[in-house]
Amino acid sequence: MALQDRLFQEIRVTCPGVTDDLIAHALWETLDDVCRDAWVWRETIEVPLTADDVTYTVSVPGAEIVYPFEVSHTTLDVSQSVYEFGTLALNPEVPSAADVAEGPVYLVAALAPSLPSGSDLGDANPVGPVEGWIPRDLWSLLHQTLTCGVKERLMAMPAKPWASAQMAAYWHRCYRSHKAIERRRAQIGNREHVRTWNYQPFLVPSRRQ
Amino acid sequence: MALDTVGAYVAQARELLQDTAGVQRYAAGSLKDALGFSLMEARRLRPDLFIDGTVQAVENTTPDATAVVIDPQYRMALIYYMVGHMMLRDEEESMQQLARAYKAQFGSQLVSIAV
Repeated sequence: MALQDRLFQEIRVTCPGVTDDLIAHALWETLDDVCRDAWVWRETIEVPLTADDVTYTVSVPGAEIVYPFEVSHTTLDVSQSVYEFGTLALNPEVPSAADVAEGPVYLVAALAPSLPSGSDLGDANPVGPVEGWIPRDLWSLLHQTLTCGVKERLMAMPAKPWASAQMAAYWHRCYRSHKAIERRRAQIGNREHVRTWNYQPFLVPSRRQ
Repeated sequence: MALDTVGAYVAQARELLQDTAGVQRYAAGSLKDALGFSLMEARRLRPDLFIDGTVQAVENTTPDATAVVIDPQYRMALIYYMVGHMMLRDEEESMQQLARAYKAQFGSQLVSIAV
């Protein structure tokens, strides 16, 4: 049994008359949204260093980076590094030969599945088998989130046997709730008792000054 | 009957039209045309069934063995359209009503659960 069979079976039962191609299409859209909005797919990417080089092109096969969380290195200060449009710019220090010997820079980032170049957007399944879209463990972790999201998308469609504005609104609320939980999980790094708020600074300069 | 090919659709439509005798009332080419029209109508009502954006062309010269690519859940709807379309040529009032009923059945089967 493939990992996503459980999800497909749930949708087939809830939305009578839906085709597998349409489920795959809605699943792709939902997965893209949940990865970009809730940062559910997080990976640590190794970026090999070159002496005296501060810009590096970073790419992940089958995925694209949607949000960089953190950049770190054992000896190099990279606290002000910037990642934009596939390029990592190290700042404030420039890597020396000694830093290169200490190992790569680690970039922790949120990813989303990407369309391979040359794929036809008109296809129901533009990126090949569903199972390869995201890491295997995410299928079980995200089961409820994806199920709610796919049902919402399908039931909101006009003139379909399974269409229901009332149920679409219900699944939309469920989906948003699950997405918010996943987003918070990403923010606290799967740790409990993490404070995600701060006191206001004691002295805030008035805007009138 | 799995309704996989053009020939299977034509044969099933003849069953409902009671046109299975040796001398046939409806030409096979006309029934194939009706099948082509049903696919075009299905594309209008349910574009998700043709998610790659193309509608298979079925014409009166299309060979019987040609496969018809559509989800099994909606194959009977195409038969109802074909039957309704063939009945439109009849001039009797009762046949006209029946034709409308078959076409309505086609539409409701595509867009609603209960038919």
